[in-house]
Amino acid sequence: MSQSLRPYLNAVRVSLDAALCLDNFASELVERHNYPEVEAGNNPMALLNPMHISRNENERVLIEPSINSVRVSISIKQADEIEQILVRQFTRFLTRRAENFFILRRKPVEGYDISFLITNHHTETMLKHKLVDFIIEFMQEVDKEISEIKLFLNARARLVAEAYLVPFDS
Amino acid sequence: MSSFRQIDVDRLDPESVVNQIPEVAPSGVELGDVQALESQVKQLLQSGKGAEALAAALARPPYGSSEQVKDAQLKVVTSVLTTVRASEIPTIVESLDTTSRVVLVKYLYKAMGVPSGQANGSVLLSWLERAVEFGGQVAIVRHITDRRTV
Repeated sequence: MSQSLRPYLNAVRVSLDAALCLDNFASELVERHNYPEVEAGNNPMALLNPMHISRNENERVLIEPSINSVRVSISIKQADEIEQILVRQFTRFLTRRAENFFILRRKPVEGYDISFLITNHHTETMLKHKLVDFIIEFMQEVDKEISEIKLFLNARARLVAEAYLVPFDS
Repeated sequence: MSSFRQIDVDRLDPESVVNQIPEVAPSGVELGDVQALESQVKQLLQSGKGAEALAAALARPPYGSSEQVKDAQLKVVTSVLTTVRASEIPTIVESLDTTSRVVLVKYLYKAMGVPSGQANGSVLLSWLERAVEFGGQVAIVRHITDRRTV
């Protein structure tokens, strides 16, 4: 792991660890309803202070805690236009399968590429440290995945270009 | 005709939880105070006293002040954090008391949310790492729950 990535992931880990202290909390506005307060956003007393963690302008994490839910938004590194396309397609692929991911949010928060919504039901049915590990692992894997896809893409483009230009090579 | 259905009646009810916005007692920090602090901090930094400069910058957090004052103070604190040498960070963080360390963590999270702080992200992250190392999770939990924001 590179020298500057470690403090970044460590900061996300300790912040998430502190934020993931969730409790069941019924809506105070509508009887017999139970919303994730961070999504409903209409009860200022149930919202807590957000945490911004950034390595640079492109790699940022926003953690928005509330009494019964935490929203984690990640901005993935995009160095050039190809990576922008790849990140968009990759996150689209994931968010379309959001049911199988449980904590994945269908739509990212504005300014970020992918968002997770962890509610008290998730922390009750799943282990908290495993949830934190999953987010950290996701952040590590997604960078690797994107650069790998980019390499494949370039290799394939070279092959196609060579095959296409063979008739002109005489 | 049915436009009355679109009215958010909870907003009109002063007793509703929607309107229970927590109030913060103002600390009384004005723009003039921040400007005085800025010159003081600049002097301390020029004479190489990083620890004193940071302690002075964190001594009076502008709780309950206007956004303008808060932004000015954030600029002062960020200038200290980015000027100090990386090798000095652990000793400086260790020299702070618990209250200042909480204020430091509040400023770190805020600074990483604005573009000028994001440019120095790696420096701020090493500060955060040290602050957690010495103070534990206490400072982060205080940042999350405290209504007195910087």
